[in-house]
Amino acid sequence: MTSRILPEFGYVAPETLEEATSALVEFGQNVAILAGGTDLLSQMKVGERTTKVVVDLNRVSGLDYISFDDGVLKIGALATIRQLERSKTVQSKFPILSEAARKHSFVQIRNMATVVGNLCNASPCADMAPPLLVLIAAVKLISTEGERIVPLDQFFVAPQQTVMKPDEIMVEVQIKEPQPGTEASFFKIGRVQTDLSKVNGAVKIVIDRDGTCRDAAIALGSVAPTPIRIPSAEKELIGAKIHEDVIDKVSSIVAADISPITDVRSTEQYRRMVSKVLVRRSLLRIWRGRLRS
Amino acid sequence: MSEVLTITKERKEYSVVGKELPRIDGIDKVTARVQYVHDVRLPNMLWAKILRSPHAHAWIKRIDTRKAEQLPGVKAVMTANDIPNVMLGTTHPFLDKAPLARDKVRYVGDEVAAVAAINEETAEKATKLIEVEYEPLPHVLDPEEAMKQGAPLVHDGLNNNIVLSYHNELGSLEQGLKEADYVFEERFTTPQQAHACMETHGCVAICDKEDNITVWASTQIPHTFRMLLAKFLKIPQSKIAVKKVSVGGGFGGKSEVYSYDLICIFLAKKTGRPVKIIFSREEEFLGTTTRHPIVFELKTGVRKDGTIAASYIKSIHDTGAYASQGPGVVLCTVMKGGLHYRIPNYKYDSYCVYTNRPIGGAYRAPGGAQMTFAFESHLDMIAKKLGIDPVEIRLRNAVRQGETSLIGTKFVSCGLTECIEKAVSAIDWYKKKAEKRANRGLGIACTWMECGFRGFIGDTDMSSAFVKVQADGSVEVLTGGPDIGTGFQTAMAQIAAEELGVDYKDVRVTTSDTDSTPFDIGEVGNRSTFISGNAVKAAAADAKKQVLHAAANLLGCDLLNLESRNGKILCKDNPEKSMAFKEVATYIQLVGMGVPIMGKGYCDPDSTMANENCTWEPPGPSPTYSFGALAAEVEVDPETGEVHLIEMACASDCGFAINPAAAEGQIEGGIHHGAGLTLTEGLLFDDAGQPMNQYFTDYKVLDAADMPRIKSILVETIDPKGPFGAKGVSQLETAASTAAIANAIYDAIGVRIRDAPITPEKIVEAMDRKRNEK
Amino acid sequence: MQAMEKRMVKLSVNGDDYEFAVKPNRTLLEALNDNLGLTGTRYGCGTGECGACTVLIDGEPKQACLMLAISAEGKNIRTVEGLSDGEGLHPVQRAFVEHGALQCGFCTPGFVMKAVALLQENPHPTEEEIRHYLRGNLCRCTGYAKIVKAIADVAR
Repeated sequence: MTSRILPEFGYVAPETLEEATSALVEFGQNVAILAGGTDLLSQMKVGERTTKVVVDLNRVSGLDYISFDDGVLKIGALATIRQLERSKTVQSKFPILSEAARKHSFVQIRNMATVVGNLCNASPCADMAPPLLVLIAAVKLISTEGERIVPLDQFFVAPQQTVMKPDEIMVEVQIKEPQPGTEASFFKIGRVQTDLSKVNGAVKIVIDRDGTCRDAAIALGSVAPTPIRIPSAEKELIGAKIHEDVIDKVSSIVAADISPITDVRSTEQYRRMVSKVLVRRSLLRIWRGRLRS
Repeated sequence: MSEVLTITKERKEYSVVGKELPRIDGIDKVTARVQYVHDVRLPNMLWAKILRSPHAHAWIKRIDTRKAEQLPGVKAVMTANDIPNVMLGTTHPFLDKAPLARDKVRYVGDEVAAVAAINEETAEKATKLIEVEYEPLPHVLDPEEAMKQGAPLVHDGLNNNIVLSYHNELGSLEQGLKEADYVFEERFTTPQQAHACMETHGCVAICDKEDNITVWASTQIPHTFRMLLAKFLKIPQSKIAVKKVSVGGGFGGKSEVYSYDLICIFLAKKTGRPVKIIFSREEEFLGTTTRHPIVFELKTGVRKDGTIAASYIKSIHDTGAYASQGPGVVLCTVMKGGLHYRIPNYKYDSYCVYTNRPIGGAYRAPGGAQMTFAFESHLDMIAKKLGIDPVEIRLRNAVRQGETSLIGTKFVSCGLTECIEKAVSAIDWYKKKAEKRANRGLGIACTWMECGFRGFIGDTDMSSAFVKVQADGSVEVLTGGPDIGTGFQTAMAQIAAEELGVDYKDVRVTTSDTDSTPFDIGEVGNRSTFISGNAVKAAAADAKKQVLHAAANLLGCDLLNLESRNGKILCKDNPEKSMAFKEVATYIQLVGMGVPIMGKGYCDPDSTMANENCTWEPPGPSPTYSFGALAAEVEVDPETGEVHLIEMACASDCGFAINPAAAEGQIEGGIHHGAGLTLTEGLLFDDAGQPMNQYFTDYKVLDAADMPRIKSILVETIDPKGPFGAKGVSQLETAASTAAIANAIYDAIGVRIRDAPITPEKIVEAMDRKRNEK
Repeated sequence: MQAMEKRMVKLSVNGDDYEFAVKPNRTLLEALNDNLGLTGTRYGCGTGECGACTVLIDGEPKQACLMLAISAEGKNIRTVEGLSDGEGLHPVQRAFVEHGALQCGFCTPGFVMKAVALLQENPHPTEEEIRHYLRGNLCRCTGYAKIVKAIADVAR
């Protein structure tokens, strides 16, 4: 209702995933899932979101895992961004995720917000989206009917809209360990240090011994209705011999192929310009680091 | 340890004042034992909520409160028809605000109706059940647009949207410009900054069956608040008691009677129960006063050597939908001008203009912060064009002690020159300039500030105080000032302890409560250290006299020969003859005489009211003035336009630092507001007049990672009229930090942004333009 | 709907157990303030953006304004009122007082709890680490300078 008072809602706290998915079926369209609460409760307070029933996942045990088996990182529904930041496995094998987690919001929010929640909220400026997109992540959705895996680059539809059906719950994010020689970097720019991003993004690149790019992925947030990959820029990179000119060209393609808007945080022109700068800087840093070693 | 530089006379070593003693309210605040209005809970209390206008400008066609009244738990619903015909305002005759809108709403947030219910949730639900039919009107959000013929009229019955204007010429602008070797013109704008106090506004009121009103209000001005309430309600002041609460930040935003205060009282009267209102954060951004956005047009004539020959300032203040303290702020702006420099010819045209935006009121260095941003940016641009060092041009123009400005402000004590030199050296200015690190820049700005402002409530600027010596010899200072966190209580305790000659630990301070403390206008206009401090000092001296009289008899020593120091009263020429202060106090009150010890003191300084033509007889609206200089170092990312504050050094002429740590804290806090004004803050509205940043999500306040290290130098000029020479420090740092940062940005990357906030978007756009011009 | 009604909740706050009834839409902040009278945890914005409601949940700093009271069951909640051992002050509180790291005091409990959490995790942070950790807690009075100094002092 206001930032002081939440609107009323029915509250259900299932103890198993089965109960949770059944609750979604029972309560139909007007249901929201509560995990960390930092998005849902704040949106309910300011009137950006209304719901009749809240299904609190926090009583379901065993959902807060970050595990690595058989070359796949699995992040459970209730694993927080802080857990991601602190995980030694993630730091060593998926350092871009640690970097993105560290730059997300601030400590209290990171202690509460979940990785899965960040994706399900589907804000165009979700910080977890670009790094997970370049790592070619997939998400597991379950319902009373069964489960399905959706590649993350097919997940986002529009601001706050995803392919998830009203009766589905995201229970896991799956990321395959990147191939050896992968370098990846996350960037974010806001009005102050602690801010929603004007632009955020990630680059991932695999550079051969001879300096050729074998694989690349570039994802940006806050510059389109959803977080997006930039295939045109990636195409330019893959197979090319990495050089400042190539990096410049790739960054320019990124700037041309995004559709930023002017809003309270920034302008279309600035976002376009700074996307180019940040992509270029990330690629240059990776490339120069490579040259040194 | 803070850096203190005493430039006039030797620094006297005192026992208590001048020392960095721990704050008197420190332990209570770290253990959360203080009570804010948010914490006030009374038996049978109701919660109130206000329904606010969703339109920037609209007729109210119809209000239907029936559904709200019928909601279980609702005890009262009010609209304009249910409350007395009261008009609010700060400055006579601009009483233009009805607590609940009568026929028209004038900004998004304007109060329309109010509900009292058994809990906050019910009150909130009830406001949503009130049906209001509006007929939207064209709105105007820009003061220059609002001044034009045919602009939407914010207040009907007036000819235009100009609340008032001041026009004056001191000396001859034309002559001055002729004498000048160069004339420069520039335009600047500043945003609508919100105080964003961490404690949102609130009020608890009780009205008993005999119409006695008790109020707990989050206010900087408890006694003035009571006086104004009595005036608006047309009842004697004795029917109103304002109770003490600690205030979670004020910065000028809690220095008037608001509509919600009256609404709370009316609801308390109607229901016969205590009523509480607490603002939500989104309500706080719209429903409280703001810093006036100002459009400046400056024209300055300078001689070849950079000295100023003439100054013209046009300033258009956006006071929002209601006048509030607009008229006073305009006066502050023109009084300031660039008059911390020697200016022989000064002309100004100053306007206070209505728009359909939130209300402009007082905000830390009101008018002064905006004026300083404009004038000090302008002066830097002039220095650049003339090829004169920006530090040098300021030193050449700086006023000195004993001078009086054109407008009548007399600089009884002035350490401006020393402040400039100290700020510059503290930041290693010349070394860093020589190093010329890429994308780094240094900027300097200086300014000045009043210590009090006669005219805030009429022809007085008084504070009074009691100092009570208890039967056990401990001391209680009773001051009508507030507890808003500035360190006021601590300073008053130190002053009383020093004057009485007792231990700081034995002094307690009672503030705010209008039943027990004597009248004090309150903590506004940088007045408290000087004026309330003098009142407390006088009251302590009065109490001391009473104690010494008895001690003279007890010790068999001449009164004039007695001294009270460090808890002991002794004969100056025979120190062996001594008694503990406490012993004497107990004797007077319990053992020997049975007489209470109560010192009283007051201070109404020798400041003057503004003349009709907005000049003053010296010393001016304030008995003395503070000065300061601030140097800033920034780094600007040339591609993204991001500005990083690296370091700031501020030298403030505070007269004498009663508590150097507290003074430093005021400097550091002041800089935070100035930096916000310059880089990130400002209320934003879309073309439909709808607010775009009512939450911290998009109203960006700097946090610990954004703020730089700050070096503070307290320059002591030992003012002849201030208590122990103290003047006060708190506001000019906000003002000086604005242009210091703007000037540093220019020094770093060569672009000048004239419209605060200076965002990366504006920097990048300016750099592009500059590149294309080449 | 039945599920909107009040339900009993048992909260463990500062080592003590409290039992009371709340509606699902009551936040932990409201429960602390209204049901338990613990007013040190403050409403500053209600949307988790200012840090005034920072509490320690099982030792980790979180925003009470974005937690449901009923969700907080079974957790160890620590507020500023539970910091000192009764007689003395917690070292962080003492440092804040000694350094004058507070002015109006409204944001102070939030900063104190945050500092306690920081020093638990990293007993000797650098100034940069302190400033980075303090992000998200807003203060309008101090410019953060003395808060950083106070924490650095405890960290030495």
